[in-house]
Amino acid sequence: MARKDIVEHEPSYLMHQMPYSETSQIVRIFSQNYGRVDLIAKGSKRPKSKFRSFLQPFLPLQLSWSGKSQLKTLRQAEIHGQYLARIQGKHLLSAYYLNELILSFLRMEDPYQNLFALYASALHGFSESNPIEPILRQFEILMLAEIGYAINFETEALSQKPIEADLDYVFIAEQGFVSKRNHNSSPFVVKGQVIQAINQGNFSDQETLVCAKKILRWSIQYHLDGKELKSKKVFKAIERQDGSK
Amino acid sequence: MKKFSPILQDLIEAFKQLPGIGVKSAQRIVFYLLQGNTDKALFLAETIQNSLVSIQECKICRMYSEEELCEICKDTKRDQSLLCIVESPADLMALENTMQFNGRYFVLMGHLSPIDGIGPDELKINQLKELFDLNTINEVILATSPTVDGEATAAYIASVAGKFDIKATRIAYGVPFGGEIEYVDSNTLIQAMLNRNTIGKQ
Repeated sequence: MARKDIVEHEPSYLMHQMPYSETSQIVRIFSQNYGRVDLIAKGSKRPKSKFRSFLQPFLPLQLSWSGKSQLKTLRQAEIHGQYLARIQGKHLLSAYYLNELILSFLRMEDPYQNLFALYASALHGFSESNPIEPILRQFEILMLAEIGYAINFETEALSQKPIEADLDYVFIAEQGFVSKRNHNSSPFVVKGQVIQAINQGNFSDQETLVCAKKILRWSIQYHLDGKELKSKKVFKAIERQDGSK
Repeated sequence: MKKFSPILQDLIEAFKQLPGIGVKSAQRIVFYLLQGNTDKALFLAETIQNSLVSIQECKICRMYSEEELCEICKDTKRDQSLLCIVESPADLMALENTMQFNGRYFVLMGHLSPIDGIGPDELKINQLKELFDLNTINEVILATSPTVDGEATAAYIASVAGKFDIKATRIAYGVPFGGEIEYVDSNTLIQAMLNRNTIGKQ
């Protein structure tokens, strides 16, 4: 009980940081066993701070902190494990997007160990320039499940019957997949076999990727409740710039 | 705290807003200015007033300037083919004080930060593209901070420069001059090893 408020050498990633007073920063982290935690890094903006070069996103960190209130005090920061190749370009933007999802959806100080493991492997995938879309979709699916908004890819929402490969379905964010027969008005129809492929994490087919993207965009927008993801806005601005030269 | 006059209280508050100044320092400054240093106080008040009215962004590089173009952009002796990109006016001043760089600058007034919603529009990349489009620049030196955000900014601008067939270079990072390896943090050391240079003959 006495030392309960001290956490040592916790594998973590920094999600975001913001200045706090002249010399300190608030760092928002995602840790393996404590989930989302906010820490104050005292003096981290001083030129000689021991934290300075570690407090960066996408680095595998090992952090120690203490404190009982919501804002803990960072005690120690180290690099932990293999240094990843630098993430670049669209992969880097995608990594920022994952951070913003984590900041927007995870409850504070609740462990999400599976999601943490998937985040680490997603960063690894990004650093190796693996295809972006499947990585994002897998992360979004698991994240929604872990925060209690799982999309049911196995059964039809009204009848609870298993999804059938050769039937057509309609996706409704707050319900799930509804047989097309019960829903004629929706313009977005998903084939049963596509839903099955997403459920198996098999994104090799282009149609599966396109449908999965739509489904997850709708779900995430629905759960964001009107809030806009800033990283998406920046992503779009960059794409617009790219198009115009 | 009603023991002070409200104007005095306001003045202390005004100084307290400045970076690095707390209540104590604010009081010291206020009492210093009021105790027989009214000329300095007036000078301060007037300069602040003047600068707010006349200082704007240079039309070319976005550095603070009283005129449409800043002193550096107006200077015809400076190398028009070199453009150094920095995040802030303070960075520009630090580089300028080294007296080693004779090209021109572009100040982003920030860096790419997707989670804060800071993207190409906020950094006025369109204005930078207009410079690129003049066909006078041969090399863009990316002097953004050696942080993940600074790297992302540099990589993005390099990709924009690439479309104009302009060479982009990145300032080096590594062990600080006069530093000792033993005391350099491991992250910087990794970068220093990855970005090592050849010395002597090959």
